[in-house]
Amino acid sequence: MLPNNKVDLWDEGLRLLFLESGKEANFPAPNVVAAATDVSDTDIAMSEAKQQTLIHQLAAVMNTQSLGQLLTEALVHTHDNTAVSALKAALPESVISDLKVDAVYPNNIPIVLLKNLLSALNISFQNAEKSIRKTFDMLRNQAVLGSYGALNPAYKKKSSQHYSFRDNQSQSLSKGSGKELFQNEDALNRYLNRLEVLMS
Amino acid sequence: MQFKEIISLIREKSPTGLQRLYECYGSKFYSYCIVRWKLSEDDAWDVIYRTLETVVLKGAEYDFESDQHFNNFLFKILVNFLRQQYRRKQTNETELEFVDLSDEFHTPIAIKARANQDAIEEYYRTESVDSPLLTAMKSALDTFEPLDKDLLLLRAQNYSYDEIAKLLDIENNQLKVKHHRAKQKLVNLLKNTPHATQQ
Repeated sequence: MLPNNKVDLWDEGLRLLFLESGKEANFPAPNVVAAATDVSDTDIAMSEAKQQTLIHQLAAVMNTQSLGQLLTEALVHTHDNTAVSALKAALPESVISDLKVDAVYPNNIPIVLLKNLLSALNISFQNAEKSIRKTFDMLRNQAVLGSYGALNPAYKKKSSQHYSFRDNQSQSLSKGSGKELFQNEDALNRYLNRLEVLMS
Repeated sequence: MQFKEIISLIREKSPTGLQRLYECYGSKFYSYCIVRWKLSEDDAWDVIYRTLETVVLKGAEYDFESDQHFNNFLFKILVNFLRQQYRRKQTNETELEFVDLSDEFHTPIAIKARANQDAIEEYYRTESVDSPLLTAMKSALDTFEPLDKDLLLLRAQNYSYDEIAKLLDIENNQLKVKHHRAKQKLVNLLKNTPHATQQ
């Protein structure tokens, strides 16, 4: 390693090339993963405190319902069906169906209409917020995985009524890499701040 | 198949699944990010968290044929987040000074003068990967023997010659000399590619 933040230009180019190759369909080559996971004397262990934080935060993600799960559960409790909810919220049935399977970014729904839906289903903002964030993260990760173009046939998607990202279930589900306005974290935060005001 | 057990535990919302996920994959990748890519511990934590979070959010939706396939899936996700973090890190480094170590092989002054540091700094700043230098380097590397290509890429990631020999299952027989020759070859190929080194 060079001292004093000096970087060899050619080695830096090679490093960037390696990182870019991660987008290719045939990445990684067999020895590449072995190289990354090979145990060596220079290994650095994560501190116990950082490990606990990691596990704790992952557990929060694991245990939080997605918005689709939350809505589906609420529909059962209120004995409403999709059609009734659509009427109450003035949302098309197709949009509610998409929301139930987490096929649409929540913050792409007109905010007053989503607020009406949540209120009709007796869902508090606190519960909705966590679930909206989870669905947002799911879809953003989905966009990243899809942008690889790259998951080879070994990674066969299970047939699921949920995330058939290769099917166009919703116009709202973008095939892009997350650069649409509503797909960034700032936009989500602004949306949630406004939703909280509307629901208070 | 350990990944099946882990995915099953996560699907059951068992904290044990998360612990196993970290122990089997997260810990090694954490070290990889710090040792090979010189990320800080906090930056490496972010990369690992986002990688494992993707598995928690999406992993159960895929069928994997083997541990190897799951490893590859996970590593691909890791490299995606590593790429984002590395670019952010390099962009924020205000004291980076690029040097042209190929100069020790008496590279013509013209190359050194034209070595395209701007292309790399532009790559850090933009989403675009339309970097003439990287495109030229990729084309050049595609003409290399696999050993030489692996040698260049692994050495750039701070693997020692002993580690490289072990990973590639070869003798450490003048690997340093082979590496230097491969690098010289790469520089010479790029010298003949005008777009790679234009400012």
